[in-house]
Amino acid sequence: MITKLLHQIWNERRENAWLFLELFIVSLFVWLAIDPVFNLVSRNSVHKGYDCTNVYNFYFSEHHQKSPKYKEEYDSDDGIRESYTQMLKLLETLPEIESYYISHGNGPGQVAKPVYSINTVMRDESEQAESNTTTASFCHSVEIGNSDDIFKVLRIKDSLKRDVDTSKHTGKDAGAYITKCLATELFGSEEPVGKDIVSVKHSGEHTLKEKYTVLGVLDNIQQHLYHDAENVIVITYRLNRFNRYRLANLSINFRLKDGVDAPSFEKKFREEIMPRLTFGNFYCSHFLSYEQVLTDIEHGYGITNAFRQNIVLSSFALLCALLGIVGTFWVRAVARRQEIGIMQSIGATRSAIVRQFAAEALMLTTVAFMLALPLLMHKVYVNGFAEPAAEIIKTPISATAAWRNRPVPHFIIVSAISYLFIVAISIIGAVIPTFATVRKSPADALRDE
Amino acid sequence: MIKQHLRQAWTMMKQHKFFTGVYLIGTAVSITLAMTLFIIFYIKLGNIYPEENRDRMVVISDIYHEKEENGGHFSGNTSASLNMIEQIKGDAKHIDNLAYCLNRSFHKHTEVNVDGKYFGKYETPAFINSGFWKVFNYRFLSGRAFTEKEEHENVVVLSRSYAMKLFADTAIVGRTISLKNTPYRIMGVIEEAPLFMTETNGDLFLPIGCSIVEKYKEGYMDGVHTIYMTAPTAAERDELKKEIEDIVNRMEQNLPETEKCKVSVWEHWRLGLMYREDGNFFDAISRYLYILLAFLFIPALNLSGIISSRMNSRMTEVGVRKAYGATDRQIIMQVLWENLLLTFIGAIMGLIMSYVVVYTCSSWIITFFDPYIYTEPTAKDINTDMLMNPTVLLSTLLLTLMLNVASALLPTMIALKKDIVQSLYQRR
Repeated sequence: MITKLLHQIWNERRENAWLFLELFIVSLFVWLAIDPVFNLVSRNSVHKGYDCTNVYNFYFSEHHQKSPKYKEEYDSDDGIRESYTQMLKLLETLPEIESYYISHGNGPGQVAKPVYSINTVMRDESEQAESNTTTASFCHSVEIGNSDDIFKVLRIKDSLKRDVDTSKHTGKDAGAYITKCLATELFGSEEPVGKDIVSVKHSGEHTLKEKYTVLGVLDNIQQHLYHDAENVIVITYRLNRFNRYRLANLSINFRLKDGVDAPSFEKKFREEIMPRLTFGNFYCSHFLSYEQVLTDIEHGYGITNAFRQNIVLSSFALLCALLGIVGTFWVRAVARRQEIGIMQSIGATRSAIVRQFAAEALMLTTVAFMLALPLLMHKVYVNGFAEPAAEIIKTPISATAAWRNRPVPHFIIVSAISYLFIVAISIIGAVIPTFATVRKSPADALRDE
Repeated sequence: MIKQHLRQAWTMMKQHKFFTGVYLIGTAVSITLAMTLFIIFYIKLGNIYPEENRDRMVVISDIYHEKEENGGHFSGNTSASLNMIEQIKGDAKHIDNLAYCLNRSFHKHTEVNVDGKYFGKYETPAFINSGFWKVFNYRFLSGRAFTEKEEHENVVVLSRSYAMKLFADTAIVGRTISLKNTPYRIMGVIEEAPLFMTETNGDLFLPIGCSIVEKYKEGYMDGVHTIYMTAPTAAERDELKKEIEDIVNRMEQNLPETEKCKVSVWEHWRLGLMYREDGNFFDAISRYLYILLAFLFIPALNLSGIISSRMNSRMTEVGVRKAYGATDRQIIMQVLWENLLLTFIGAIMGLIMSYVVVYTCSSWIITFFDPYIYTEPTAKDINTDMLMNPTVLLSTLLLTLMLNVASALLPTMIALKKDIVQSLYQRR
């Protein structure tokens, strides 16, 4: 069968050459377009470790000193704390809100570039050794009045997938929760509760060191969007630790109760609650869902456009391949009407003829794709896999990356997806015109000649 | 003769409907994508309202500034100082007009009231000098622009949509609005720029010297202003750029040793392409040219394959024509003309499709190639001037001819290599 097909392809080599060349180029094109899409989808589908549906952030601004609404008596640390407390009281009266916490800086996933936010972390200052040192990023929250914790609002679980036990957190700033991967890396165990870690940050000529006691171990968290789970330290500060500048940069995150209609709540919040969320010199300046913040990051770092561009380009390549194959096979099926008529008159069924044409298309596609693979391997060897949003994904694939993000599985998966797409298109392209031709009776087919 | 070729092509189109359909779709897809790409870049780079002087414009918007002060090292991106603007005004000989505005990131949440009614916190008013109205050609629906003498008065120019929002009318010259509890007299109403033109889109245009503007501390070169300059003609833009670079270099020489400034003097197209690197226009658009080539090359290959297969079944006709003395050139021209009819019909379909794509996908198609998404325009931001203009139509024609020649020439030449006997024998 294969020999017969090869003969057939060789006999029609001139027509097949165009098709073959096109399939070869389309193979390269589709692979290169699917690679970044796979890269993004795969990285985004890693376990996030938090749930941000129905979670909202709102942010504050201050009235400027020249504003008629400026109140000098509230322009102090105590004044600002009082402003927050009063605004939170209003928030607590809303029946739709399940829990809230005050965030300093960005929450998990709301950080795009890891380079700015990573500290060196070691097991203990007295045990400085390479094996005891790693890097981690911080996630900060602030305790005010009756505020809940970040774990409750973002439904972060502990390493055993249970609710995080915060009873050990007695309001001491020196306590920290660390993720499972950090615990394993630093202590070789997932249960280092009670042990100390030291964070070291270099700022110019100064080195800042802070010591924390591990209060609990968390499930792994995707701290940076489109990255694998990383080492994260979650710390809750007390408000009185913050100076005026840091106080002015807090935001409030809250979760709606299950069953609350989110669009209706958003409308109500914007129209009725936001204008009332003002106290002292502070007022609520904007309000976004947690998911919208993540979408804005995707817009801002080129991820959305990377998806769009690659999907459009690969769709275009596949459509061209479909049209090319349909056109070529149609002309060839018409030119081979006599052959088809003879095959039908000696008993070949329609499906057998269609299968033969489809097999020809499959063989051409397979050979073209196989020839494209070495070129693609060379490209990956020289330039690596696609970095669709270089601004955000600069980190190389790490040893702790999900298996599918490692080089060999990555290459195999992208190649398999590309091949399946092209084969599907080729077979559809070959079957449609052939089927249209074989519907004629053998006598009509032979008479046409 | 051409008429005969076209008549023959028309007859063949009717006879081979499937082939015609596939060919037309192939051509239309290619032209749709190529023209969509072209329209996106025309919108970003062409001279369109109100940025009708883009081809002769030079911009200073980014200055990298480093400073040693009190034992610390400070660095970051800033904009231009008023001092730099004065130096340029005094020294540059090739400037036709100079506009500057306060960097928009410095102003937010300006409260707007009309007759005591609160209209929310307006996000980004533009604080501009009077030259702004000369560098950018806004159409005034009523009133006029403020002059240099009025740059320190509390006056304002509104966009049409904002005027409609506040007053439900555009004939509102002389009325007042309150910004941060200060009355501003309305001087004019303009037709606003499309949303994706971040340099010129805005609802409130205020003089740079009005009372609402805070005083910012500026350095010798670093400050809070973006400068737009136009040369008298597009041909003189590079001379203007060189001249401005010389002025800026001279200013850099006068900086103290503890301070450094790297001023980027850009042609306007860099803003359109968000291309903030050194390099020429070709470097900036090379990536898009590859995509454009792919949009044309892959379908051309595709169509070549179909034509090659068809040439095989037309070998008898070719053999007969050759036997009666037709030259290769005549046969090639016959195929090209026949093919041109099909390609042309496909191109018209493609051009219409590209208009449909740009209109219906306006929220993302304009920013499709941008490194980041800063705005989501609507169909209202796209107007017929951007689509139905000679540049776009001529480009379609050129692409059609390229696609026609690229798809039909090679298979025809290969088919003609066979001699007459072989051609006639093949379809015996």
